[in-house]
Amino acid sequence: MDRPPADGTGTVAVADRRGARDADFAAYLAARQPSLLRTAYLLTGNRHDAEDLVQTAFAKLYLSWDRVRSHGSMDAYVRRILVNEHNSLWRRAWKKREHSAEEETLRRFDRPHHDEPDDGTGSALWEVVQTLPRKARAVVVLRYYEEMSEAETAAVLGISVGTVKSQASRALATLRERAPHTLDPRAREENDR
Amino acid sequence: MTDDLTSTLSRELAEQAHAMDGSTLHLTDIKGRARSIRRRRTATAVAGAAAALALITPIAVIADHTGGSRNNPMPPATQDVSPSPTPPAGHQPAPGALDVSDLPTGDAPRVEYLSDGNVLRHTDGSMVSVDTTFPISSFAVLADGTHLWVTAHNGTPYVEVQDPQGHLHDPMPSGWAVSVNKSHTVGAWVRPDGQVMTWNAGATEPVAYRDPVPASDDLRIGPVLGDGCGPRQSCEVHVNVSERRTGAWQPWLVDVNGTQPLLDGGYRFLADSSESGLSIGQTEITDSGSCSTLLGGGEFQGFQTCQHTLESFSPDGNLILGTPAYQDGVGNGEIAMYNLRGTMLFNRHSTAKTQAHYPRAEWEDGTHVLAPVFQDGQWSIVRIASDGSMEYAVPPVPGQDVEAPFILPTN
Repeated sequence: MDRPPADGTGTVAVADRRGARDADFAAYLAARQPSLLRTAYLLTGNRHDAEDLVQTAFAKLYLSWDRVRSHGSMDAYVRRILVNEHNSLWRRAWKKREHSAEEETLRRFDRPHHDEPDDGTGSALWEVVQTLPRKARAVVVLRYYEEMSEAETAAVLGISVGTVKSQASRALATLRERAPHTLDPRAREENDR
Repeated sequence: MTDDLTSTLSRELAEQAHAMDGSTLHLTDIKGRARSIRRRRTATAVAGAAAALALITPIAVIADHTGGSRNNPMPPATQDVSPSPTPPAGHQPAPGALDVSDLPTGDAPRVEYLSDGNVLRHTDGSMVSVDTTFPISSFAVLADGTHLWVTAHNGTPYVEVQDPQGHLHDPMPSGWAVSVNKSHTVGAWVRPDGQVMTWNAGATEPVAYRDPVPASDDLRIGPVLGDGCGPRQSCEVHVNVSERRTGAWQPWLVDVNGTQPLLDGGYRFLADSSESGLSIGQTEITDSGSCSTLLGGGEFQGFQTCQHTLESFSPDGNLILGTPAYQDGVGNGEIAMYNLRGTMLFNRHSTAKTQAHYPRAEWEDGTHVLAPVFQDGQWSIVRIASDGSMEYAVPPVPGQDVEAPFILPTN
């Protein structure tokens, strides 16, 4: 939906309309980029891929801006692009094939700096989260970071609620199995001392 | 314990995420990537066509030095260089361009199709409203008039069967598609638990066919061969299964011999099989595209192309529909046809000007496909012949780019 004409004549120059459109989009970009970047980081595990993913998601939103804005559904739309872009068959196949030891090394050194002291349990959990299959990790991020309901998660991922439940259940089982230290009360007490 | 885990998990994810601060992207970055995406949607096909043309010369050279291509186990596709037949009267876009503006109007679709969500339009022009429980996303028709409607509710797909008398059965859990054999005497779908379900023409209830394939979060029904499925009828049903942990695809075959992975051909994703024993599917998938292969038994040579996804055989099995090798989910901007020798009969791709795209094309007969195509804020159903000529089967109507108002039957 275009803005009303500035001069009241019913005509707005194309350049003005584009300028107004870009200004709207730039405002949205500035407002939503930080939170989307955080979600993208949880999905990808490193800043470079996260920024690349966010750039692609916003670019696709930009291409559909007029339509999506008229529906008032920008947040849901861009988040859906973000997650599905990350999960896409093509990208996944490529990542699996090209994933190299060098990339893994870079990934390990490219982690955010924490100002707060870490008791070690959280990081262990994060390590395991990063080993989850992409779809399962997406479910975990949407359910436990974005705090979406199962139905909302299903809608974003384009899968059934039952699949969300089973993915989340398996992911939690994997986390329990591979990071039992995190949930061991004695270990936590020791770390708290 | 789960509460402990989920709360710890939420806390850890929040800590990790909030350390990822800083906004580095600006509007110019986004517009640059958008231009790149738009170029890729429209111009990749141009580069692909050029690459295919370039292939013609090396193939000719190989033929000269080997006495033909028989020594080449999997020759690449080639491009038809013979003169095109006379196109239908009226405006035709430039060769190679998917531009559906101002086409001549031909006959209405010679198959049933759905418009406006639930209006079934018959080939005689009559219409009927379809009252499925949930909204329809795709459908197939059996020879006896049974309709298999794929519907969806809260992101969960179902199959709703409507018998020839119009009676609708209750929704049954399903994947996102149904498949039918070439003679439309049996349809099949796969349940989320991996169980293949079939419905024979004339039946009153579905048949659970053989043992299930491995349960997965993404199961896609593939081609169905044979005249019927059941205790006294043998058929072959293929299912493409995405492996749960890795996401890698593997086709499975369900037939009288049991349920087992389909290893012949090295397919990663089986797209279609013909009654004569030919099959097409993707044998390689990369970040920038895919390679598809046509295989057959005995002396049949087949071919491979990395320019298109080999999507489906024509009803008589003599032609193959090609769609983009890279499918990013925003609609296909390229369409092609091949013969069984690997000769590309035509290739049309959207341009920066047209930005045309279509969600899916279906065969109408042995030499024509139908596709709902979006261009310039309008949807039309376009008939594309094997010589590449186009005409409207349904003239353009206004619409949104991601919501096609027309659904064609799975053929």
